[in-house]
Amino acid sequence: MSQDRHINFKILRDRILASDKKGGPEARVPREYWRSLEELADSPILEEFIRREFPQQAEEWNDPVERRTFLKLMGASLALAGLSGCVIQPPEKVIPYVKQPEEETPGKGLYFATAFSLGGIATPLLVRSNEGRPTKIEGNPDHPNNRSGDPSDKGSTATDIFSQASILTLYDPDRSQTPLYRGETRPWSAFVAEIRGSIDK
Amino acid sequence: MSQIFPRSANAIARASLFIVLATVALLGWLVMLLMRSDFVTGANANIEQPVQFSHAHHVGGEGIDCRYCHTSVETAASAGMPSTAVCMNCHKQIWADSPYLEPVRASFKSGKPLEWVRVHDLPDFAYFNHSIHIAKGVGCSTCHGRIDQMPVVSQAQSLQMEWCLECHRKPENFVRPKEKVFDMEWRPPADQKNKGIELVKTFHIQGANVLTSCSTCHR
Repeated sequence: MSQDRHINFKILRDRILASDKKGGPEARVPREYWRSLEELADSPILEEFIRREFPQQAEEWNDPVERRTFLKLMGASLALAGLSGCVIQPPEKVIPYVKQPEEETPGKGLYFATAFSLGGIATPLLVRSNEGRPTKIEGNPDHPNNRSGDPSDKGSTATDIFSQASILTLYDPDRSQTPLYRGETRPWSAFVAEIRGSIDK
Repeated sequence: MSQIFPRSANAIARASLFIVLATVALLGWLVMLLMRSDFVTGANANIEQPVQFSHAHHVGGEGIDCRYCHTSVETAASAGMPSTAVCMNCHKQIWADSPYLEPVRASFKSGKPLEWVRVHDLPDFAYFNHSIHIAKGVGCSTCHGRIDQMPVVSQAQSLQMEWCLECHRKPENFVRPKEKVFDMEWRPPADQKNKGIELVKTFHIQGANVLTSCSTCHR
């Protein structure tokens, strides 16, 4: 027991005897609990160790009342932190179009009937676009694919998962940003000129 | 044992209890007043805009209907802000060189939109749909005030939930016939209560238990 050299046995003995006297059914004083003999003897080496390991708590944790106060403060500040949300609403901006496209209603979606090639076969789709951005794909209930022979059938908007997932291809970062002619990029004007020529024929 | 407390302690104790309770109540009442004040709600504050557009001139003076600019008020949740092109429809020819319209012409030429400052702003946790209100006979001026008399738009009402509930609890006090919805000068007539109950039935407006249900607005 070479580590016992730094324990002051006199303090240790006095404390233990005192607590024995204090103990018993008539005792009103809260029992002092200790975790090691060094702590009971107020060993300076232990206090140094605690101060190094837990700089703030060396004094606080020994005192049971201080620990409770600390926890109360932490709990209260956490609860009151939500008050930072109580502010007057900061001003916002409304930004309209410069030239609003006809039939475009901001906030309301515009539905386009289109098709998507799945396994070489055109699948009819209804694409909802909000302010020019396609947001949701559903089936086209007016297409014979989605109707039974019954004339009162309103048609279904069902799609398969490939059609639903195809919306992601519209936002694919690898998607070409310009028209391609035989693998080489061309400006839009070249495409328009080419198409115009074909249409005019 | 001698008396610790003098006789007056009785009165002091009662008085201090009463004063404390009264102070708490007074503070509470003052906070309540503060929360309804124009400072907190933003009502009646003239908001400066990038272009000095006067509704008093265009609506009151020229008689332009609300829907000429705010086109989606009958069909969508948002009433819609007019695009620059709507302004230029007239102002390519009228006041085409006015310095007041310089930001509008600049926006039209450059393609950068005009950044208006929002006057009627509900918090994001509240959902508001214009089209249903128009469809059920709530007029523009009921909520937005006399826009046709405002050279600068200000928020006429507090827009607080308490204010919305006044109508959502008793719509018969506020609804008007469909043809009067865009009439700025309409005031509720003397027999609004009776007329209102009729209109509520005609428009099939739901009862207060549905109108004041939480998820109606807090979606």
